Amino acid sequence: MDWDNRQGKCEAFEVLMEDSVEGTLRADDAVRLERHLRECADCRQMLSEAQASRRLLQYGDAAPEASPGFSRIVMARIREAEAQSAAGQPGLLRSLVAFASRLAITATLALGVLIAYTAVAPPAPNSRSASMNAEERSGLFTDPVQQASTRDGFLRMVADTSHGEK
Amino acid sequence: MADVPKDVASQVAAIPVPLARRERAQADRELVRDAQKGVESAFEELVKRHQQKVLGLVNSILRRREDVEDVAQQVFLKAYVSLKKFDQRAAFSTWLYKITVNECWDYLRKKKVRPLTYEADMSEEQLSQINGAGDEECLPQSPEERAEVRELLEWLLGKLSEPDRQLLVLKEMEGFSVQELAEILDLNVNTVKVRLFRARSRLMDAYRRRKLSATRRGDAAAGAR
Repeated sequence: MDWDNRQGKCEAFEVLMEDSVEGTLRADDAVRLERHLRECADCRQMLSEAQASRRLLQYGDAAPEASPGFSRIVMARIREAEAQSAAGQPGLLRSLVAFASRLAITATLALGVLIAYTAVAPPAPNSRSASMNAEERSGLFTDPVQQASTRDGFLRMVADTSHGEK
Repeated sequence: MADVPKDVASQVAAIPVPLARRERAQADRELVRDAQKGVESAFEELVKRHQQKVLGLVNSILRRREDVEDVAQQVFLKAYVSLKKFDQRAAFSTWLYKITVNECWDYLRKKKVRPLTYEADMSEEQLSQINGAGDEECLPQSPEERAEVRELLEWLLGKLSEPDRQLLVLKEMEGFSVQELAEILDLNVNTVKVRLFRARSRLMDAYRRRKLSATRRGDAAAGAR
């Protein structure tokens, strides 16, 4: 027999039967339950088994007693945690903060060196990376100013073998 | 006429007066107030008052792992840290037991362990020795017999679902009241009663099946001889 498969009026008596097992059944409920049990063999068996389960469960081991110094150990751990907190942040956080400050100092120094270098050093001649000269630019995109506007101009451009070198 | 269990037939139990519980809760409230003001001894007193229940709760969830006491200490540590935010709208015990349950689940998650299951079968001898344990007039008396019943009980509890097992352990072994269980589990008192009753039924169902299987094995062994 399985409670999950049972339905209807017996379910209404589960609470009362548990109260009965617990010994907390009220007088009026005891009368109601007794009336039901007279008619219902399934519930009689269930109640009888539930009572047996209680006896069986009395053989179970409860959790072991707390060790004699349990509360002292708890208080010592609390004090330790408080001391850590008063000293700053807890271990992991403290090391993270230290790492972040070291990183910030290094970055500031590097920035300072870079600024000093750019202020003192003269600009590099013909620096290819800094800017392109006019000739290089014309190699990529045609300068509209230099485009020949007349037929003669065009022929002069074609005949010019200096390749831009003046 | 049908045989009505005598416990019910004669039972008109007085409803327990929850006075002691109310007094305990009131004393807790005062201790919490003092602890919130920074009185260390007040919190230590709270630890002493609740340590056994917290250990029982941890034990029922972690199932006698060696870390039970360590987790219980951690629970009180967390409770201390959060105590200033505790507004006392719920009972201190309810609040503490909820911290306990959360701490246990955190522990299980971190350790990536699943609750133990009991897979091993018991020997025929063990079963035949103890199969009277659930019967009305067959309670074992000797230490050996009691140890056997304990072993059977552990085995039977291992056959239940975790919620059923925890409910029965907390109620019958660790001494939590239905009211306390309802508060811990955020359930209605009657729902807890129904769940308890059904868990008992499933426990005895497992017991009956074991008994039947042992009888069959016994018959088969006798037939073979």
